[in-house]
Amino acid sequence: MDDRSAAEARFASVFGHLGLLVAYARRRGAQDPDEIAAETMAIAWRRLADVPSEDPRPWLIATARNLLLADHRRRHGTPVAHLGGCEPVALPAPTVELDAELEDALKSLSAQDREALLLVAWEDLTPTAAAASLGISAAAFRVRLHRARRRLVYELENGPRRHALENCQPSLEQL
Amino acid sequence: MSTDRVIDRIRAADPAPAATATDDELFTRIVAQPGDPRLVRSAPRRHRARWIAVIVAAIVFSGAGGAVGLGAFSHESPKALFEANPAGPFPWRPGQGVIVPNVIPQTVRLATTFTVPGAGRFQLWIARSRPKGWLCTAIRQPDGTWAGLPAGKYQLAGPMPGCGMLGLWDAHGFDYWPSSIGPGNGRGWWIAWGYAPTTGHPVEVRDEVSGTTAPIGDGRYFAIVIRQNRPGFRLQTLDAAGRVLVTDRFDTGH
Repeated sequence: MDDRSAAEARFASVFGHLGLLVAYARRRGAQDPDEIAAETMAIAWRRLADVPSEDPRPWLIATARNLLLADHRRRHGTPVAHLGGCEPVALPAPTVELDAELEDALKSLSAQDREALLLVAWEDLTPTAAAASLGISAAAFRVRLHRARRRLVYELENGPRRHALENCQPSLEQL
Repeated sequence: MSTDRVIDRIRAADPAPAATATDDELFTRIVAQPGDPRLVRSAPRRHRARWIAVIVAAIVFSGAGGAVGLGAFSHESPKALFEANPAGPFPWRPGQGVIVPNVIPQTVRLATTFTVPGAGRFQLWIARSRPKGWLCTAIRQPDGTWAGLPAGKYQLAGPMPGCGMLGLWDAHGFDYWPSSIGPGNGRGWWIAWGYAPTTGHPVEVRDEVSGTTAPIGDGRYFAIVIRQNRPGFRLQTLDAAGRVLVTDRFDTGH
């Protein structure tokens, strides 16, 4: 097998994760999930030497996330020249349909904590793989995941009551 | 609610359960592009065949009385080329039409030039397009043809000529397309073109392995030519004082 054929064979195994990428992009509210997945695969092909052969999913998800971030910035008017700035690498809350209670609870988390939870729950990544996709250590990821879980439980248990109380607060004009 | 059950609840609310997806046409389109040159350790025979084909084609064309065979886009303006979008990312899917980008005229510019020994001087042209803020890129080859078109002499990697979404690999890093030109066996050249992070006002890109440098044009774009006599390359941006600003963490060579 020559180098080209070997590369194509290796890429074929990477390409088997196309469905994961489409689902990832859809879950994170991409306008065109197929486009994000296709572009991610195109990048994987031309940077195949960088794609871990044992488990390409963290690399693919990290790349798809960057594409989603770039797309999000463009749609919200951030000039391309500013893309290299020091903004946090975090996606906004998903815009997909969820039950209202869960959606509110997820939105209350920081973007980093929310992504940690969703990588485990929706992408079914292990903490080690999810940590790799976020470029942080597995230990740091576990801390982040633990914090996110606790916060989400708190929000689910107390969020509705807290919101109800907030809604019952009399305004200054009423006092 | 326990913290374990909360994960189950999120799972149950998954809005897009993953499914196995196959797209043979997409796969074929992608692998038709030049792949990662770092995985090609020796000069493949097909490259040699391509060089021979180019020479034969040049003889045929010159014998036929000129540059008729160079292709419809050979000497078109970059703007016309971008609007034609011959290598646009669509259609990725069957039945989807090619999207015609609305190129913003004042953004069409020559970003940088680079010279490949034995081949000549190349030009990297860029533009932006509406409505998605796509980046348009094209490389004009020394003979006036555009890389990436059938008549192009060299097969440089990347979504060109045309417009598409930025292949932003790292929000704080580089994105570039590596290609190679030449006979291989350590006697050819890597060409890496793309855009660099703007962190810290970079003016130059350097290959940490060989020390080769190239200017950053128009604030962000570069094309660097690196001799293939080392196992790989790793790009960095430098500021005007020569300080290293960002090192590409993904390309360590082999």
